Amino acid sequence: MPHRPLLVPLSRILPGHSARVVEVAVQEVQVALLNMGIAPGDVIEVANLGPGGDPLAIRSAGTKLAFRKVVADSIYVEAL
Amino acid sequence: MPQRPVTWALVGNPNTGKSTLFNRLTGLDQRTGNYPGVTVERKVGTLKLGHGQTVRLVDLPGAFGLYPATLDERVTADILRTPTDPDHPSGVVVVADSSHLKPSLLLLTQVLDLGLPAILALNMTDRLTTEGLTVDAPALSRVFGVPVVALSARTGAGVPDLLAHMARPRVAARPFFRIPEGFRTTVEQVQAHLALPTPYGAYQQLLSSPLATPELTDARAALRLSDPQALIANEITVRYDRIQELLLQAEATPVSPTERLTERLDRWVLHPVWGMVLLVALLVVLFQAIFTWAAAPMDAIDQGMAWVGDWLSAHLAPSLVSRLLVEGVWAGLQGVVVFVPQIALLFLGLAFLEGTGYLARVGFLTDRLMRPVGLSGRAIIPLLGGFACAVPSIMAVRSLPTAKERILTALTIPLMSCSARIPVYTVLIALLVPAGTLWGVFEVRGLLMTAFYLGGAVVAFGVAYVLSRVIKDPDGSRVNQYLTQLPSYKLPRLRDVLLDVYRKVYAFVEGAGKVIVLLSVVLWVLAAFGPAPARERAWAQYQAQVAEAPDEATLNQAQLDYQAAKLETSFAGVLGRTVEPILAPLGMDWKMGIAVITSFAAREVFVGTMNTLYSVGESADADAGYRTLTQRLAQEQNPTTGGPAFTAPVVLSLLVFYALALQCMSTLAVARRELGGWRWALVLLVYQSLLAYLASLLTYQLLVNSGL
Repeated sequence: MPHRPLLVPLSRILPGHSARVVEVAVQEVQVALLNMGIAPGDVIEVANLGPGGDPLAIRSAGTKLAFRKVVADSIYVEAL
Repeated sequence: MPQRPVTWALVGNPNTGKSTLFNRLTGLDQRTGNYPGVTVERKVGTLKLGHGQTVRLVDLPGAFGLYPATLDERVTADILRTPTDPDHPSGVVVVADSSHLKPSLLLLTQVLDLGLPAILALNMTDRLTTEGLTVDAPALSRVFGVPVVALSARTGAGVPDLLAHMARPRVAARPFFRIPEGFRTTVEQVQAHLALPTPYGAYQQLLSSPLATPELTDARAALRLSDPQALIANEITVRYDRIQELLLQAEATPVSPTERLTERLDRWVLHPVWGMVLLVALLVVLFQAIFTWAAAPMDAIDQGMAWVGDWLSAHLAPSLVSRLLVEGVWAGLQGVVVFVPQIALLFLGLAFLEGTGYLARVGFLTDRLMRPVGLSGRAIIPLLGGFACAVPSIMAVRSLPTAKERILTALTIPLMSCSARIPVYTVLIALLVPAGTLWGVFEVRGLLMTAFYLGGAVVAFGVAYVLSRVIKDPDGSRVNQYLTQLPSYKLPRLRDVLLDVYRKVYAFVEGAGKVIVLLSVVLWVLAAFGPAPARERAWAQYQAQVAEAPDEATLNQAQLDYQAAKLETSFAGVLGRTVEPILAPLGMDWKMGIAVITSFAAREVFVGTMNTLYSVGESADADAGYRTLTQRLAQEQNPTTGGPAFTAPVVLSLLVFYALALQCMSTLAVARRELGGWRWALVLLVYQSLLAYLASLLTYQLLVNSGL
């Protein structure tokens, strides 16, 4: 049976945990992340949560990005 | 024939050390301004290449890729795509962060596909840690077909290599991205129509340019381009695949540093509780510094320039021209220069915090708070800066990511009670309540002052809420409301920080200065001249008083009375009489009308105008001056009622008016400069005037009708 990863939105990943980007549901978010060097297949770690859990900061390779929870909702990842 | 200097551009992702490299290459030999119509800073400098060739260097705004999502990126993309643009370069240095190469290489391949000769500058040591940086420059150069220079913008190592390569620019041998088959014919037509050097340039214009010539519209219709975002995402993915391939060929897998220091610091700096504590502490220090450290140099400038003004009026032959020069132009200039210490201090603090990487974190911490009023986290700094002075704060909105936020923030900053309101509040509050304490603890006057500060801030947030629903985002971007990079921590170079401060002070003096001086001259003319008959009567009366004066005191009083009479019979006085019917519902008479009109230059002028109107002798001690003015105003009678003119409703009405009205030419001038024209500056003036008028009206009428 082919391996089917369990997809969850990035907003469900706890801080300190990593995940692999599979798909970005909102096209503008997808393009913005691609421009900043984050593509499907990349591993990202949820690094920090803002007050009340929103916005959140992620680390990937040599960069660190911050965005709101709405953006994280549209990034589907496979938990690692 | 002298050769026109060749233009080169620095292009790079934000936070790659691009500005440090620009400063390193050009030094003080640089100029800044704004790109026409937008709030994006334009930096141009010159540098000399080895064999004496002079090159014009443009520092293009930071961009992730050439499909723009922000105003900064739009400026960069437009200049690189448009060969007719005056800043269009004949060569590009792509500055890359060597610890995060992929997005920089994406930009490099896009620049090369536009047909521009490029050099890749791998900036190595702009951070505190250098762990694990292994990039093989010669191998990269071989596979990408362009010169690759490893350098340090910070120390200058490798910069001579870069200059040597700039003398011999190279273009890419073949495109990195092939335009999809079905598009080629149309793309070639667009390329011919826009006279572009490459088909890829035409492809970019088709997908993301705001240009809509009939040809472009037809081409888009022919291609059924309903979803350019999907095509853009596809292009970037293709480019990354190609970049990955080339990196494998070069056997250069860039290793990213672990950024342990940044993560360790962020655990505290971004902490929901401790992060906030640190933020509040830093802001208190910053604004205290602006308040206290700026006071002495501001006084020195004020007194020094006033002294020069006095000296000039004493030594110039008394004529209309010399008075215009001293009382109009020089006084206007004084109004510009006096802000320099505050501007320099605010920008010193901000440039330092920005350079360390902290400023981006402020947005992270406050984003949640600002969201309900349509702003994102980073707006908090300029808004709080408004408590010190609106002028540098409006200039600081440049750091905000979207045009809508810049406009919203700039339009609400002047509602924060700035330091120039302090003298006005002091005089009026003293008139309203006697000095004393509430419950033995709180100074009543201090409490009222605090109430006006808080009130201004509350109104500012309310206005932001309303405006955020009315104003459309000129960028049209939704995602980038808040999606930002948190750069690694580093120690900024003092030189870069100081250059930044210098650029901003220079831009203020040059840009806002012209408008302020001009408006000062207009106000001076209004206050200095008046209809002849009334002025002659005032003169005759003064002459009669002088002739009969029994002693020096009476003589002095006659002189003061004449000063007041001159102002009363001036055009400003006539205007005061004219606006009296409009101001009457606010409880203000024509004398207060004059003060309101002259206060348009700057609200602190209120005290001076009131002094003249109510003939209070100038006092060397400012505090004593406020006290005597307050006493004089308290005695002033209302000619119709016979009671005191400055009743509680009148004073409160004035206080509300001064808290909300835009009475500062510098603010207006700087808003025009930063928001790209008179349109938003006029919106600011009109809405604040209406708001101040209506709030004063409400205050006065409610108080009077409730029997006070």
